[in-house]
Amino acid sequence: MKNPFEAFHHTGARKREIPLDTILKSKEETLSKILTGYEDLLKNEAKDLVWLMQYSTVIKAYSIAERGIEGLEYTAEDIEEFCYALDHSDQIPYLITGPAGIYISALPPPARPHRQDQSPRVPPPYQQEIDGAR
Amino acid sequence: MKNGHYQTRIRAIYNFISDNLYLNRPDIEIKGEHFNSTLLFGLLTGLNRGKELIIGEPGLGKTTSAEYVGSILYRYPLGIVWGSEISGHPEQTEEKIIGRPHLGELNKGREKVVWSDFAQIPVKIVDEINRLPETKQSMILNGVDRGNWEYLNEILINDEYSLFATANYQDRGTNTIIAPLIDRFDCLIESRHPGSNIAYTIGKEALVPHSLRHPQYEKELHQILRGDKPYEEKMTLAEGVCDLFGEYLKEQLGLEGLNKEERTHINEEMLGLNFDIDTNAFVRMMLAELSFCHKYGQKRSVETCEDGCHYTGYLCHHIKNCASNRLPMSMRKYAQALAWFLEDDGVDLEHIRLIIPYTLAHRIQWKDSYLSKKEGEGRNDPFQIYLVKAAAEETFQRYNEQREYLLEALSVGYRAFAGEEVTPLEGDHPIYEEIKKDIGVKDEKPL
Repeated sequence: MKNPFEAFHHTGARKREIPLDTILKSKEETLSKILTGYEDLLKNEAKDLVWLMQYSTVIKAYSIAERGIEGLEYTAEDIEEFCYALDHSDQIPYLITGPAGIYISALPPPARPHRQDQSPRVPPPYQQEIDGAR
Repeated sequence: MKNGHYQTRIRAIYNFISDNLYLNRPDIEIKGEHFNSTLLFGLLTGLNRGKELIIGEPGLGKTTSAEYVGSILYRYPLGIVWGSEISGHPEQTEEKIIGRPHLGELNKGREKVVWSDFAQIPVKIVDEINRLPETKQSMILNGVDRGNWEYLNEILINDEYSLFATANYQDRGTNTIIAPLIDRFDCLIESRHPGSNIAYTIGKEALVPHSLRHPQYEKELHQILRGDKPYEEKMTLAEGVCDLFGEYLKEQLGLEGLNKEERTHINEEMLGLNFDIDTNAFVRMMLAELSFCHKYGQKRSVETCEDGCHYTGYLCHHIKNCASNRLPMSMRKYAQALAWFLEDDGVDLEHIRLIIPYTLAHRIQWKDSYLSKKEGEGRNDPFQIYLVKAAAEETFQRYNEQREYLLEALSVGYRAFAGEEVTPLEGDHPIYEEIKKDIGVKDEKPL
């Protein structure tokens, strides 16, 4: 007798990809890159053992954060995801509010398309120092 | 299937009839295009040599739509189509439907059959079929099913034919169409009221249908059909006159019907269109729900499943009878015809979802409890079609939820059937039980 399932010979392993899968995958990749950037920042700052809110450390941390997210395309929703992960997820081993705040402050501009032409909102007194650190 | 040559001609016929002869609203939509179901299915029936039952109120164009489609598509003058039509009424006889003895020959002691035009020509129309008493409906079963017409000791076999039958809604003069006869119809369509505005223009703007008549060719065809020649020879001669009428249609109305060779070629093209994997799996899922019974092994109209069955939420619990093997054949034939008409490369879910309600509506016997539950719901379609549309969408939703798993189960089924030692997948749908039955695994799911 002819196999009645002949048409399904090769279907088992095949997975259908719907647009939602692509979107979710892309979101996960973006969040993962943002988290990696944050972890790099923490690793750098961890060398100092105790993070102190000082003028020079802020500038340095901001520069590292900028490098971490360089070339990364993200949206406001990705930043929300990251903030949520900071608070609720075990993806991040520890939360240090200082570097986390600086890292988040480095994120917003690209997430606002209508402001993409503007420079990051760095308080003017620090801008010169940042440029110098670069 | 982008050859487009034939499809353009068929679309021109559709447009001509819808613009001039059968004025009605589009009531179905597929892939962004809107069509009138009566006309579209009429054309598909003519193209795929199908059998269509058209229902509706008296005077809403059931018979005329079939006459126009048959006449133009097969290039038979309207007078011949009218002359070959069978009317359903209690006094109808086999002699009028199929054939009668040749009285002159009978006087000489010889048996010879004079076949009716209805039995001979490929466009067959039975008007008001449900006015035929149940006993007389049995006379046309074989002819309707296979195109085999028997009388005395002779048989006439149609090598191609399309059958259109019309039926009014139940009234004092109608009978029930017997189950074996109704199952032989591929699809059920309602010829609907066109709406007050279009109805107002009918008779005022519509072309006189006599534009499809041609007395001379009608006379010639009558002579051929009533002649003494063998059936095949008569059909060859008739095809010659049809060619002439086809040229007349082209010159006068700009319409190109199809000759026999073209109709055969189109049928071959349609048969070459394959179902994609989703359509294949979805149809199997649908058929499983329409034939499966956990308690009794399969649906049987004489056995009623009880409440409390594990499969209460599926179609099998709401219906009395079992899907016949003609159902998947009808689905396939019409889905292929639709895909061909739309110039698609194969049959996909959109085609089959449009086709299923029309090929299934007349074949399902719903349980009374289900009918009572549903009859008050607001709808646009006749009750039979409405119920099946809703049922098909429910099943489609189930298919979407289980798609990946079902494909995996069918793939495992393939491997098991081929002799590999694999465990069939368990699932909460009759199809998984059917797969297990096919590969020889005993169904042990409790009620």
